[in-house]
Amino acid sequence: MTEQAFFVLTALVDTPRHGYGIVGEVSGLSDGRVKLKVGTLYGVLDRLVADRLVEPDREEVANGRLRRYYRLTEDGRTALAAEARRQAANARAASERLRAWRPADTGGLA
Amino acid sequence: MNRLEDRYRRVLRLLPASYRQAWEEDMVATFLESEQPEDAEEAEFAADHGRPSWAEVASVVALAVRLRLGGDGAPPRYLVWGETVRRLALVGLLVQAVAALAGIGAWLWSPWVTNLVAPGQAADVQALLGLVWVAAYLCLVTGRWRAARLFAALALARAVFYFGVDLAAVEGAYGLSRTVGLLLDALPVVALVAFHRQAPAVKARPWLVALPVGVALLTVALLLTYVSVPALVDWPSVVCVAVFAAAVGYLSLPRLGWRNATVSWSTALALLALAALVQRVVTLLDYLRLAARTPELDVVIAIAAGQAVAVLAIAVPLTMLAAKAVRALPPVAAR
Repeated sequence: MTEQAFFVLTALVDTPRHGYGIVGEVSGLSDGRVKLKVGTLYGVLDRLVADRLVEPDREEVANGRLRRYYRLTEDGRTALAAEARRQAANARAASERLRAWRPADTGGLA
Repeated sequence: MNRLEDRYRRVLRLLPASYRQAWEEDMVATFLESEQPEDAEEAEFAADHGRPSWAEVASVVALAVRLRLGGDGAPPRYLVWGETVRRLALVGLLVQAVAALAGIGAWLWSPWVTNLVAPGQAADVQALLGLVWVAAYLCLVTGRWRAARLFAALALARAVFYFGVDLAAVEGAYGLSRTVGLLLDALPVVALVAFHRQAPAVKARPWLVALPVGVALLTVALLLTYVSVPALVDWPSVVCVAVFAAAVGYLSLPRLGWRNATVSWSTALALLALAALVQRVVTLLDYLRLAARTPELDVVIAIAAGQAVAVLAIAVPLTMLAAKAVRALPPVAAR
């Protein structure tokens, strides 16, 4: 799973969102590090919809424009949970190693 | 529709019509919301004078390339174009890798023969730098396409450098041939864009076998040229003979039905024949225009003209076959 797909799925966990809503939420979730361009967002969304991890929720009209909302499917929730577990395990492994490490001259692991 | 929206919709035309039908309105709404300043006056100015940023345009271009040069799960038509461009990249890098290895072999054996592969060079450094093409090819066939892009870009930078050096050394002679040669070098490097996340994995084994086989064939051909009749008078003639042989082999194979694999080989071979033909004709024109006429050159010109006719003769049925096969593919439906 790409980092972008990971953040798009995460942005949809609590509530369905429209395209611009997803862009803002992903930016917030990543502390402004991941700024999705529109072409990139729809490249990711299109794959997630094709893989049935995300599906259209409803359409609303705002400022004279149609807004399409997307929601996470059960498969999407499962896939995101699995990916989150994998990343957490990776982070845990790194953190444990870092905790155990001491510079060689202070008598820790070399 | 304001002008900003109009400009953005024009960018979106890069995307396939079927994709736009499904996603365009949504993309436009998201784009306009993300470009909307809060201040009413600024918003009005942006609507009239704003343009999609380069980053936004680039994201649409990248999406268009991924969709049109399709991979797994793409409609058959886009999958065929994706496979065609991926094969052009593979064959192009294979040719470069074979030339580089044969060039190094020839340089080790005799500086004279090297001149055929890398004309007019002090060949040592240049021959060794050719190994970057080999690295790019090996990365590509083993699935490391990002590394392959990097190596291929480096190899192309080397080609551009020697292109400049060569051209300065001969005061622009054969400039047309050399420019076309450089563009053909760049083609497989650009074609690497078709390798993306959805691209199916390359079957490594046949492509790995092709490398030593190609080097062996080229070495034998160079040796034959060295000791007997010079049929392979220059590098374009090597390419012509290789494409001709591949095309004849392909056309005489028993038909396996219109599978996607077959369609994309037809299109790839037709484009390769076209590339070989262009290079052959352009070098031939440069010979006629620039070289001092000698009996030896007349032989070279006659051979080159014969090769041009032969490749044209094989390119026509290949192109017809490819065009028919592509037309027979189902149209792309909206998703």
